[in-house]
Amino acid sequence: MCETRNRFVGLEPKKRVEALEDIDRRDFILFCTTIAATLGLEASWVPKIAEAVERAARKPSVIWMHFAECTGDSEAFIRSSYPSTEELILDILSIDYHETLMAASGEAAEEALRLAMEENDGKYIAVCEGAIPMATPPGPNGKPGDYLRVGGKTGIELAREVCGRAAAVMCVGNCASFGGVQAQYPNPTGAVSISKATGVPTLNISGCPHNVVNSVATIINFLLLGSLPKADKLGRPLFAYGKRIHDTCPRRAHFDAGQFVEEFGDEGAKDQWCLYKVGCKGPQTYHNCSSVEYNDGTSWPIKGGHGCIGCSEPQFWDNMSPFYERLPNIKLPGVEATADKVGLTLVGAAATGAAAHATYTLLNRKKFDETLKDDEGEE
Amino acid sequence: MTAGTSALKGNEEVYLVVRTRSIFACAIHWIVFCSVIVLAVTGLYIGNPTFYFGKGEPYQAFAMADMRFYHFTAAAVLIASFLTRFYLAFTDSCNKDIKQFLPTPRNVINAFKLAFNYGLGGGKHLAYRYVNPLGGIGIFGMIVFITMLAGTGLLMYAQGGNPNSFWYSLCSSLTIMIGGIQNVRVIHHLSMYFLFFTVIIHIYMQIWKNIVFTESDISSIIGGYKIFPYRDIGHFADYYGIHLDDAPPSREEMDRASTPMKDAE
Ligand code: HEM
Ligand code: HEM
Ligand code: SF4
Repeated sequence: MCETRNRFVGLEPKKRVEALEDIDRRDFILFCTTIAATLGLEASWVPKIAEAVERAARKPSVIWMHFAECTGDSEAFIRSSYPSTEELILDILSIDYHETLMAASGEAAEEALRLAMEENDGKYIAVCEGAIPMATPPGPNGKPGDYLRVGGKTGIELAREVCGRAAAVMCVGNCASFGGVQAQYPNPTGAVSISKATGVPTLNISGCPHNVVNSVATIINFLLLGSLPKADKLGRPLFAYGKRIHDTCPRRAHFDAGQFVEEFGDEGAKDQWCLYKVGCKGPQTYHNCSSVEYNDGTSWPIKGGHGCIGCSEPQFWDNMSPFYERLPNIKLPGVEATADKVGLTLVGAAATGAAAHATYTLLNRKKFDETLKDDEGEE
Repeated sequence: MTAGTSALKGNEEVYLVVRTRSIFACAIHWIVFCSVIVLAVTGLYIGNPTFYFGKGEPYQAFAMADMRFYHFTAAAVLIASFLTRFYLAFTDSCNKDIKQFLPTPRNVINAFKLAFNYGLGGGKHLAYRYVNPLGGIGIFGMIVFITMLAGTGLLMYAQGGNPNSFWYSLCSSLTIMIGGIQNVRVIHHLSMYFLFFTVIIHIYMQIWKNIVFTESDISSIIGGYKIFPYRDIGHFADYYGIHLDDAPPSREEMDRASTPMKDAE
């Protein structure tokens, strides 16, 4: 299968149409239906989606860039078979540059990028994967952005070049969208999101990795209407990030019933009770995992018995941890404590203070009585 | 308006009954009190559901759903009564008391004097017809913390809303400014504990004052009047034209003292 995948990168449009004809009609309609459902469209849209996909002429050119990341999003993308086969995904798009998929390497690869950008200048979709390190490495020769160089250019330069000339920039994965794990404390490489590094607004298909259904649906949306889908304040498309995981979670009934897993492996866990008390961040996380699931609708963390860790939210590694507690800790200089500890200390202090003052009053009752008498009071 | 004297232990122990706030304002205090208790109990449950479990099949049990329902209902009551109280602070017939709650320089200075006076028992005892400046500072704190609780609570509540609405985008912008929903939740928790802190001191101080000094502040929040020993009214005598001398004030003077003031402080 791996070889067939590479076959499609850089193919001429006509050849791609031929390849599309190989695909089973049933699979194809199933794919269109999945996309319609993901986008929240009704069944009458399915033929329109099919038509938009089949119209080869409007296939958008895609330049897929890798920055500081683990290639997890490319992995997710090429492993998906639902929406249908990987051929189909690659066929909706004309992927003209993709470092891990293309055969070319070295100078030939750099040339391919230059060509791809020139041929479709201002018209291609830049898909970005990975964060941009902005910091300067220590040492006499360090320059800003040196932590990431591809073909002699820093990540910052590459990102500005490619994103600046794109019709639209789509970030896949949390790193490109918000900086990801490497942007978390203490962030040694100064990693930031694509939009922060380039100043170009991006559409963020966040997640770790992102769900392929969502990136493909975004592209179909682009094919269908010629525009990117409506996004939330963080640039995430609302069709996928408009509701929290908790809002449609299959364990939600147990949440409302007050039936919680107390620790992994207990009776509640076996009965698939709600994972709220073992740190599930579903109530804080916008994503459509609970309806589309991952890997062809196979499973997703909560279905597998583990709480959500909020991987589609900004700075999730810092903000959503500890992953097995509900609230983040409070970091005061020198100490780290839970909010409840800080609070109970406060309450304890107030109660102790009151008790101490009451004792003082009892012992010094006379003093207060005296002040009562001494009251030629004016203000 | 209530006015009366009662001669206890001879002429010196004359008591003055004065109106301090309308019955409406008193009622709101206790509505706020009740809703805060409900919010604290249900909120602590929502944060860590331990003391009440849903037994049976999920469709038979609604422990968490119930608690959240009570939390949101009490929150609505709290917000509505707080807004009404805010309006009353400017328009109340007996006491337009907004200035008594704000930490103006004058209030802060007087609060320090009182803190010394109440805390250690030194200095002059100052009686106040309305909220005293030390109490006022504490009340200001409670107002701030309740506002923060309501604000962060509404931000969390808005999360489940319609993502196309104006309200939703307003709240999500604010949430992003605060640094994410987890920070909002931490602030909700911390504001709660700061509120508990101030409330404990508030309650202790009111009860303590009631016992140690003769002025009865608690009746001021239940019935809306305070009872002062006549000799304590010195520092606000000027307001009412009561002249302090050995003789108790006349009935007429008493009545005047008890009439609502046009402009509090
Ligand atoms: C959650 C609990 C409480 C909160 C949030 C609270 C809040 C307040 C606020 C905002 C005021 C000033 C505004 C007004 O006139 O309504 C006030 C006044 C007052 N509260 Fe509370 N209160 C609480 C509990 C209590 C309790 C349990 C008592 C009884 C011991 C009490 C006694 C008083 C008194 C006596 C005043 C009037 C002070 C004066 O007129 O100088 N409060 N409280
Ligand atoms: C004295 C006032 C209040 C107290 C003591 C209080 C306390 C709490 C606590 C301890 C939690 C648990 C937080 C968590 O871990 O998720 C909570 C949750 C919450 N509170 Fe409050 N709260 C108060 C007022 C309000 C108000 C005025 C609102 C306004 C709507 C509000 C809305 C919420 C919401 C939406 C949640 C999250 C519930 C959920 O995720 O299911 N609260 N509250
Ligand atoms: S498992 Fe998580 S997302 Fe699902 S209902 Fe429980 S808290 Fe919500």
